[in-house]
Amino acid sequence: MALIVATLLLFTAGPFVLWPLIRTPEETQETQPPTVGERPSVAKR
Amino acid sequence: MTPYLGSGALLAGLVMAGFSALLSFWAGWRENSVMVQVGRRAFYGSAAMIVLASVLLEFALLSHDFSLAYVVEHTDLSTPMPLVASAFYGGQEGSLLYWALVLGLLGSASLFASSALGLRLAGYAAGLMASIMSFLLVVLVIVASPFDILAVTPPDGLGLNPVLRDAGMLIHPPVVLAGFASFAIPFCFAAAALMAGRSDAAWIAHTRRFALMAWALQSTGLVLGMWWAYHVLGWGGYWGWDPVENVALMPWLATTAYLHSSQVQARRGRLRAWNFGLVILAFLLVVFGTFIVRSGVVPSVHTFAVSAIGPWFFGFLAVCLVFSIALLAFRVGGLGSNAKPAPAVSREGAFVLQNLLLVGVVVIVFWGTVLPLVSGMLGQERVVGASYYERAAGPLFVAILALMAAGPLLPWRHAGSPLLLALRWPAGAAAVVLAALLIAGVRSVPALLAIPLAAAAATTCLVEYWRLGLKLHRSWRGWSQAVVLVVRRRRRYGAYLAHLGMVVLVVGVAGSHFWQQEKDVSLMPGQQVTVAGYTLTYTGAEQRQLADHSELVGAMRLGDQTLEPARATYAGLGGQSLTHAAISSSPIADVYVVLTGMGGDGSASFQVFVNPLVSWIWAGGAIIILGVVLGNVGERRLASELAVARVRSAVPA
Repeated sequence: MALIVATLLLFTAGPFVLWPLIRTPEETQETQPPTVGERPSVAKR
Repeated sequence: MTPYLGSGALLAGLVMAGFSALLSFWAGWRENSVMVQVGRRAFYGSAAMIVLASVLLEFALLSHDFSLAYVVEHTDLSTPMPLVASAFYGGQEGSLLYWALVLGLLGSASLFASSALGLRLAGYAAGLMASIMSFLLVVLVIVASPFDILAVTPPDGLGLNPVLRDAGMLIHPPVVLAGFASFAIPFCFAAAALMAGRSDAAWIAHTRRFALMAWALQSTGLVLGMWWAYHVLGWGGYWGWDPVENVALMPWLATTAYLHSSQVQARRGRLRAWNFGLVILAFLLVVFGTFIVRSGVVPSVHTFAVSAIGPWFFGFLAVCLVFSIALLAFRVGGLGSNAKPAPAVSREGAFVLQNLLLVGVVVIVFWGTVLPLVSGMLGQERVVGASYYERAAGPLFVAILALMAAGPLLPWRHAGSPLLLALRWPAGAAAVVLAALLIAGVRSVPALLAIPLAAAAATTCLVEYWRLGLKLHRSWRGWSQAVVLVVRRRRRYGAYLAHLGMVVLVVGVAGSHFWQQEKDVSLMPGQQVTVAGYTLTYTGAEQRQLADHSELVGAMRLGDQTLEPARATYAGLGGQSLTHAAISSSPIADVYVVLTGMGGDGSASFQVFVNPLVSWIWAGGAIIILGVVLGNVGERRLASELAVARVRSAVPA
């Protein structure tokens, strides 16, 4: 019984968890956060 | 239905936490933005499942669902509803679920705020947090489920332990458990930063914020625990150096050290490895403490039913220890600093010394706590008492108090002749208080050290506030400008307020420790007893029947107050009895009366304590929390940005 409940709950939560994979690439780029404290990357020569 | 829903929610939470752990580590390693987000969301999902399980357990408790073993073991029909609700964290399984709940909620908040730290660090932090969550959920699902069903549903439960039937139960355990749980968050960010090879100021600013929150929760929990012990246990004291108290104190001490030494890293870019070590140490002490408390390996007044979770926590402790040591050993080479060490007599030197002293106290407390375990393994079990802790840790606490007085006045780099000038006020205050104590006839060396040094530390804080006042006076451009200046430096002045609170607390501890008076008396109605100038008259006994217990009250008159110490008997709990102390509090002293017995001739026996300055301890605790809250809530700029800017300006490239 607990297994069935767990499976149902996982299916319910699935769309929320996997949303970043479902989004379009444009939406993903819009929500990229800026990074603080990391060294800026150095372009390869 | 509730048990199945609850078990299902825990199982779903475990699957999501495990998924989050694996995915987050992988995504962090590959710096895959989308997968880091999925891993983080899986952690949020796991937290949501734990919230659901918690709501279901609370529902089962409040609806007296005696089909659940946990509800039967910790409540009964006569228990008042607020205490029934508090049984959620009153037992082994429920308190573990509460721990997972706090980790889920605070962990989610910290991960939500971590997106600006970089993909690798954020991914590893989520992976570590989800790993800890997975461990807790494995224990909750396999070994200590609060949703276990009984074969036969009884008509009533066994009830909550009488000691836990107090208003303190509503506030102390949830706060101290939340403090315990929240030490995992700075640990995850510190370990993640090490894994990611990051030792810049951004991680320390982020970690500091959550370390401060854990520290504030633990401070509140410790003071509330002292208050509860004082009001409920009826022995006239508030701190017994019990193993459970010790294990709550140790991570607090380590985090106190970290909160100070992190300033050295933020300002000067030094002590990086040490800071990592302190954050990791605090979490390891939490896991060690949980193992000690819940496995029953050392004797303690805090009785958690001994269950099968001891070996699980021992294994978890071993894994965390090996992982942390390996991580530190692997990364320590890259954590050095180019910045020149400051002279010994400087703010940095004071922080280093204070850190060493605090870690020294941790070592002393740790040894006292594990001695029964170690000596038991070697043959004869030995237990140390309060005098060991006082003699071993007391001098270190006195030295820390001296540093509280001098440290804030020292400059960061060079301390020259202005130092002596700056120290004149605290030194003067200490001299005046010392003279006053000697004139008053005090000859106890610890008291003659602690109280003048506390006065010096308080003076240092007041001098800083005075300087702030002068600065505001000189550059007065209206109230709005003044508020802006204070708000901009609120972390500093909040810290001084916390120091003032600590001084008030220390004075309370010193007063009640050095000048407590106690008398055991047997009185007939109408007879009096005088202790430390307080005269109490025994007016007679009375039997009272309350909802879940009966009380035998021995009333005492103190001035125009009536104190009612009592012995409560819980018939529904097999006749278990409990002492209810009666306390008359004032800022000068508490009169604390315990009814110890009734004679057949109408006489009553009492233990009367006069505890000077105890209320200062509670006031000091409140001031500390106020200082932390006022100094840190609502910072406009990202703390990490601030720290980065500081390090860039302070450390030459």
